[in-house]
Amino acid sequence: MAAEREPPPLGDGKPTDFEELEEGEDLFTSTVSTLESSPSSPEPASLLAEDVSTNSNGPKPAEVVLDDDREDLFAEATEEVSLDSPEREPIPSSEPSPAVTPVTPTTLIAPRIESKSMSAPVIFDRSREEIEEEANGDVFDIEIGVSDPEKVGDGMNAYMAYRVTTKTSLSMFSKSEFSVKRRFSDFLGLHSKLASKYLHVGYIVPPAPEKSIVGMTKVKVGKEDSSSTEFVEKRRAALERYLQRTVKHPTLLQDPDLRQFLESSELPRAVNTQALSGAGILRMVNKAADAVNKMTIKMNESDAWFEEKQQQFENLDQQLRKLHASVEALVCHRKELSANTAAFAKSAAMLGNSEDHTALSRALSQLAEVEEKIDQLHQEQAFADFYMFSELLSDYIRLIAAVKGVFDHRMKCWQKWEDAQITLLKKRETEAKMMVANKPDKIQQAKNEIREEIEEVG
Amino acid sequence: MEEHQEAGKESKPSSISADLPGDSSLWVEISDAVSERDKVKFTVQTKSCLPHFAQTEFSVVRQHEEFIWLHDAFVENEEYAGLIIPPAPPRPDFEASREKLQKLGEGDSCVTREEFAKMKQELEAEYLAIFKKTVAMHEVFLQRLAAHPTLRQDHNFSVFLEYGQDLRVRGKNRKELLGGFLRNIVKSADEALITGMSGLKEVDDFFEHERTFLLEYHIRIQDACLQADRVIHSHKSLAEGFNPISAALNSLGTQEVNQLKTSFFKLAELFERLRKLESRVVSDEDLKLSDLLRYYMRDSQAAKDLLYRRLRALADYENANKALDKARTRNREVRTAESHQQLCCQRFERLSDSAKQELMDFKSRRISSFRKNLIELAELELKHAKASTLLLRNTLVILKGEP
Repeated sequence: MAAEREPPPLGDGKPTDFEELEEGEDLFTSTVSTLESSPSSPEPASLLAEDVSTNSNGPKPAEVVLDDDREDLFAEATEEVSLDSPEREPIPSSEPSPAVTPVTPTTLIAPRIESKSMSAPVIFDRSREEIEEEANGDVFDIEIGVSDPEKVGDGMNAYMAYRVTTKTSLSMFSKSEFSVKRRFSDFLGLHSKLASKYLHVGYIVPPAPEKSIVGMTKVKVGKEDSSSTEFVEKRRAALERYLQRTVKHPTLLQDPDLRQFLESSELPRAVNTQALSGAGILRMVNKAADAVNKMTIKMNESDAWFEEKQQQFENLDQQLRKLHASVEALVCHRKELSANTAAFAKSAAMLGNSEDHTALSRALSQLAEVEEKIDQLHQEQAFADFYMFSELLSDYIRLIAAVKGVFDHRMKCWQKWEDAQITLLKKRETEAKMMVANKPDKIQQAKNEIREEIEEVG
Repeated sequence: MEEHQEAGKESKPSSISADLPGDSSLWVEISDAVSERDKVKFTVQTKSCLPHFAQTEFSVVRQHEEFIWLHDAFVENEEYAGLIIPPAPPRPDFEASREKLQKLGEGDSCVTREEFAKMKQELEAEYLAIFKKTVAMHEVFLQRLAAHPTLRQDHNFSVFLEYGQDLRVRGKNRKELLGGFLRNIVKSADEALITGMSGLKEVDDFFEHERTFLLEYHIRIQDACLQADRVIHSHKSLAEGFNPISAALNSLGTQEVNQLKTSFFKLAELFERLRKLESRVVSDEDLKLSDLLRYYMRDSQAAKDLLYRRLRALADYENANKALDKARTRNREVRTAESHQQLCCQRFERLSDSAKQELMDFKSRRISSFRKNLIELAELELKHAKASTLLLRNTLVILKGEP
């Protein structure tokens, strides 16, 4: 295993070498890249998720022991992170200088990503050198912010437009700082495009925030109360996290759709994300069909690793949900406490006013002030609890749902594979029969069919 | 229901009525209390060297209803009209925790064994806390009676303290309760009438001032008490909310390995400790703030009652004056009218004097009690806040420090 990890010599751009490398190795390094792109927030939990994402890409060689991997992963991670820090200053000229050792990791990664992408449908229309050059030029330096929610339009056709600001030193973008206005359905459209392209290859595409008809209707109608502002704030934060997660994934970052989303000022309206549209209904039907399928497919799990992983994910999902529920309850109680404390503060102030002994009156008013401060603190704490803890948990719950989706997809692929094999077998039998009966034209036809089947199986 | 034995002579949490006159000629305390079914039996112990008691030390067992009986006896006694009668202790209320215990006993399948044990522990602690509180309130009532120079000499009081047998006081039945309720209504109507009467002028500025003050104060303190109760309630549910988080983190931790595992366990422990701290804060707030407000709410009501009685006496006096004048003009029954008027006058004077004294006592008592409790509250809050900051800081260090 260690041998596989050894980085190939620098400047080596021949594709043949890459193909020799096992699938397994690619996956690890792409994980490593994501690690290095986020030195500021090494969330162990996210490591877990992305670790699995890369590993779910294909049947893993059986001899891999997971625990070892993870430790090695961490070891490599610390290496990369420390190597990165001097690189934080954007290198102005993107020179493909293999001699610069700190750049090693990025050169490694880019070509490997390319080999990965070759198996995916043709997306990249650029040469390998271009990628190398670009990867040489800078680090994974891209910051995305979502801000300024504005209400555009009126009545039921109103929507919230968010400003998406990108600051980057990546050379694949035309400018280093730009911002565009996007609305929620644009985000959903981006997600559906990315999902359709990558899901069946086995990547985990970060899930988009959910639609909320109630929340949006309130905003549209124009109610200026605190719940609608909270809703908008929640959504804005969720969209920002979504984009940041998507961008962290190196393959997804290369995607032209994503670039278009970030850069172009006008985006074609993603109509098929609307709830009540043809595409929406189609989606619902598909989901139902999938659910039925899941119950009927009985996949013989030949790989114990997957079995174990699935079990783990089930457990993790359950526990995260429980934790999330209790954290939400906590936030709710704290908000209640804050409201009650405010009421008590007022009441104590009044009591202090009516008290005729001056010292006691002063003491009571000070008590009232302190209680007010406590109320403020509780409110802040409730917000912090919510945005950092609770939302994080719900994000991970959704990520796990995405992971499960990938697992399901794998199952579907396997089923197709099985079906294809069975058909192949049948066609071979027919061919044999034909040979015995000696019908030349039928033989040819059979041979053609077999070739088709073999292609499909492969 | 379990029987809880109150360990006698332990430090009483009652600090509501501070600084009773250090007169040791009559010393009353509740040394023991036992809870059975619905009833709580208090063991009242008396130490006295007063002559009218048969022994110097004796104790009896009393129930809540007997306390109420004693209180009502004082209220209805005309002689004590000029005094603030200490408010009756509230009925021991274990309803809330009884419900919870029942729910717990019914068995919740989604609750793990550790959680169940923890909840049971919490519930028992809560029950014990309520128990202690009710004992303290009954004791304060008796101690104030014992401390008051006039009230302590009451015959009913000595009977209460001494009589070995059951006083056989039944709780008020429905008719009596209704009667009491109606009497209250009549009283407030009467008060409104008296004050509205044009002829009635408040002679004494002191009383005028006190009256306006007390009326407003009572309303405000009632409101404050209500709000404080609400704060305590939501704070309690917040503290309890830490428990499921801790449990969930624990179960997450068992699944993970290495660094993540220890982090999760540390977090779970943090929440557990935080919960304990928070519930201590809540119970302290409850004792020092909420109970304080509640007691003075009742006490100010008693003071208001005193003022009412005095006002009533004043009205009677005025009426007697008018009757005397009428009798003098008609020159009939002058003597009876005169004596009646004299009586009323005397009564009124007497009431006014004692009322003045009582009200000033009330004020000083209130101030010192507030001072003591608020200081203690602040100190306790500080202590707990320091403890929780330390805990959070330590956990932060540990979580960050782990490579």
